[in-house]
Amino acid sequence: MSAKKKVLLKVIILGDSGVGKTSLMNQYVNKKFTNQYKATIGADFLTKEVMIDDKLVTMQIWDTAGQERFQSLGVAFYRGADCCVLVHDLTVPKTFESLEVWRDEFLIQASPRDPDNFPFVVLGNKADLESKRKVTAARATQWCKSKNSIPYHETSAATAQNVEVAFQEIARRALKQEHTEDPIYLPETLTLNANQQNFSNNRPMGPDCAC
Amino acid sequence: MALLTDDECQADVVVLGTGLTESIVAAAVARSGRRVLHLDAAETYGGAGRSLPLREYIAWAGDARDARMPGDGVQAGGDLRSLPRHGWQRLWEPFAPRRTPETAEMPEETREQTEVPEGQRAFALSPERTECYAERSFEWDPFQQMNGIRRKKNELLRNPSAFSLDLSPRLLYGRSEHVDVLIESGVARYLEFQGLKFTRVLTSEGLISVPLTKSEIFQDAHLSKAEKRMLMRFITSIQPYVSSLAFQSAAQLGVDQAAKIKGPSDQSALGMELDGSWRAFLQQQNLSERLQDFITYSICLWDWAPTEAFPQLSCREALERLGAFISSLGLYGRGTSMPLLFPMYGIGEVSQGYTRLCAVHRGVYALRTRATHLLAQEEEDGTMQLSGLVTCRGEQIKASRLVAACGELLQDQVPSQSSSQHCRRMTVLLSSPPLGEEGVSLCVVPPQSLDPPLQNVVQVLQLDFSSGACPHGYFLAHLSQASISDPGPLPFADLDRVLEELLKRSPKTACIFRCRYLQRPRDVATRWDVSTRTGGFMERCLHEERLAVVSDPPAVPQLLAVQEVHDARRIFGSFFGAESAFLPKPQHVAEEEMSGSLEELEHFNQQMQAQEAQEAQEPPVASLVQEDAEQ
Ligand SMILES: Cc1cc2nc3c(=O)[nH]c(=O)nc-3n(C[C@H](O)[C@H](O)[C@H](O)COP(=O)(O)OP(=O)(O)OC[C@H]3O[C@@H](n4cnc5c(N)ncnc54)[C@H](O)[C@@H]3O)c2cc1C
Ligand SMILES: Nc1nc2c(ncn2[C@@H]2O[C@H](COP(=O)(O)OP(=O)(O)OP(=O)(O)O)[C@@H](O)[C@H]2O)c(=O)[nH]1
Ligand SMILES: [Mg+2]
Repeated sequence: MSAKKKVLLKVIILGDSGVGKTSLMNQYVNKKFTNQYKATIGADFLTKEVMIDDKLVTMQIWDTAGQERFQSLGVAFYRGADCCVLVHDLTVPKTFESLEVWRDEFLIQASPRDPDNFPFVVLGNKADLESKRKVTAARATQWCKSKNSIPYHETSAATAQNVEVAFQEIARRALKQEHTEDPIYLPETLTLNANQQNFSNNRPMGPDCAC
Repeated sequence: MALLTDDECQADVVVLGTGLTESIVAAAVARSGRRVLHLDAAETYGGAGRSLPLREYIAWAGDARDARMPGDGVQAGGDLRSLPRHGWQRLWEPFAPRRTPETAEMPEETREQTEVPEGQRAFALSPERTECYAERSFEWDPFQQMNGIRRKKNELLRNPSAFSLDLSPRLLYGRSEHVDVLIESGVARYLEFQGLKFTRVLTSEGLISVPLTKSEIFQDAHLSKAEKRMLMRFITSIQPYVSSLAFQSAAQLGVDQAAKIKGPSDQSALGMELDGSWRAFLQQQNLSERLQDFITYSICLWDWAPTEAFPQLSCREALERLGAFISSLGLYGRGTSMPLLFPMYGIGEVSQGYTRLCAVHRGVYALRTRATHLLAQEEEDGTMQLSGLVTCRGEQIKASRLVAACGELLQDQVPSQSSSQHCRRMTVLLSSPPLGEEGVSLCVVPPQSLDPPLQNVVQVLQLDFSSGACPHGYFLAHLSQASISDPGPLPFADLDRVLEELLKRSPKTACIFRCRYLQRPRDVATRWDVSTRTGGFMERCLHEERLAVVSDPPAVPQLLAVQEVHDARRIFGSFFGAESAFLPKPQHVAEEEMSGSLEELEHFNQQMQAQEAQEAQEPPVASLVQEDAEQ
């Protein structure tokens, strides 16, 4: 089967409330932005197909659904993530200081096989509000460097600045991760599929899958 | 210090506890457009049905020393809240240790002094949270047979999240109310399952597979010819109740056909007394003892030996169980014809799926948040009406309805009593699969299989890394036995014997740890003392259907999740009327499914076109070769 090969990448977006996680997702996937803040509701995950080096991959971007507000994301949310995006609002220093905690939280909960090399991407959001900036690029870059060189992008969900570039990098890193995870053969799992009220096999595209 | 905003302090329903039933109710309420505030005093989701990583598990089981790594501060006492989460405590002081011994000693009256608005009254809840698990113990290398247990222990503790250990492990029938709800609600999208690979029966002749299809019966190596005939005859004779069609795979039958296979209908032509004893019926059918055991224990998954002290299986219930088993059989094809599903990473994952659905529909979540008081409003006629609650941070929540897990809503100084039915549980980590073959699978041990006989049948659930419950190369066995009598001095003796029997078969198998405990669900009827003001108030709320109390995970059935959706539906219905839609399919899920099917269609069309194009260009043989080369 050469036509279409499905790779599903799970990307999760973490960061304090109000930094623009949902806005970034919506800007990237739906090319939309709204200025009114309401705490996220109704957000599950958004999917977008992207081409990376001739390869069509489906990125599934999971919003926290507001469960992060009181540090109440359960371990289930983190499972199977291929890339973790850490977002701060560069006009609010506290959101930047939280990145360390979010990163630790992710590593504890998701416990990736190789924590040192797990792909993170840091986004300093609201770059359009340059006059109100409180977190310098240097400070953010330095922190990222100290964490095994996490890539850093400054984005604006409002103007779409850098959003496409950042998510390309996210997809690329997630894809790389997807290839390195699960070196052991993982038996296929079942998912309850609504179309046939039946089961289909999940993850048909392991790295060792020949098709 | 308050964390919740004023807006979040207004809810239609507050749910206390994040066990499976509570989480389903929360999701259903949020899905119906009402505001939900969902709290749990613990640090993790799942309540009494949680699935724990190794260190939390060991701390829970009581041996905190063994959970500790050099330099970290795990404390004793089986309270998972005492485990450190350094980061949050630093940034979120309000979430710092929740235990307040001072309040525990304060008499009820003093604590009622919490400031309440005019016309309202506060009723204090017990600060203690107790659990339905008793007599817990945890040992490394229980049989002192291992060299290098220290090294092994450190190796396992280095990656404790590779474990997800169920306190109350549960399986789902492939075709069941719960699976329907998972699919319809969209929660299934968050979950993955492993199908059960096989079921075995441990008999005096060893581990035997139970033949489930005509051809398996025909080819079976253990059954005598006479038994094979008996079994086929039996299958044929129960046709009026559970169509033997189901013994063919549902995949062959088509799902629609399989769906029609229901439990028992009415009185039968065969004169089966539906309320009569299933044992007696099987005897009438001239089945050998062994076949009776196979059918009763491994197909009906019945939890009790035919002893007078134990509940007896009626024909009605047996046929229902047979129906559930058989209609789920072979449904999902692909190597697994077994009817039971194990949720990846354990049942705690399923409750978290429901909490996500709830959150997606505006449900607000706060773990580490305990309710300290219930609030009541005085009505004009002088009665008190539930109006909300107070949290441990002093937030006053306005809500007219409350759902609470049994353990979250205890009255001060009123010891909770357990019901007499309980389940003895033992979980062991082994170096090779105790049931002889890898994979998620089940084994039942009828009492007569061992000499002297067991007090009651024992069930063994084998898990490996494919279920996400333990790391690669290790195997978990959850052994359990239902009981009614006083546990006595050696409650786990039978479980130990069964383990020994299984391990005898592979002498090289090492037992790395063993955890044992009693699961004693609390008696929902004696939770509070109705003669006190607080108890009387809670009792009234219950009667007026403003309060619903969720029972502990049942001790029996030991391994099946069958009650939760049912209970959740009942609670939801009691609040909002049976006609309120219960977890209907969300719009975005429907759209996604639709686009999924369209995509498949498009993909199919593309493939067809590609093939046609190719055929037009090249002779068919060449195209085949090319495809092979690509693979
Ligand atoms: C991933 C995601 C993130 C979003 N983030 C924001 C945000 O940050 N700020 C904001 O103002 N709005 C956001 N929205 C849109 C927001 O969910 C809807 O505007 C809002 O739920 C509409 O509420 P309602 O009461 O009209 O509909 P409801 O009755 O609440 O919704 C009806 C059903 O449709 C679903 N639904 C609603 N909107 C969408 C949607 N856009 N896509 C798929 N399903 C949907 C709901 O989950 C629900 O099942 C987001 C939507 C999605 C999917
Ligand atoms: N100026 C500007 N405002 C932004 C940007 N991104 C987000 N915002 C605004 O920031 C607010 C919060 O954005 P959300 O996307 O809802 O933030 P969130 O992280 O999803 O918040 P929670 O869902 O509450 O955790 C909204 O008012 C957005 O309009 C940006 O790049 N520039
Ligand atoms: Mg958001």
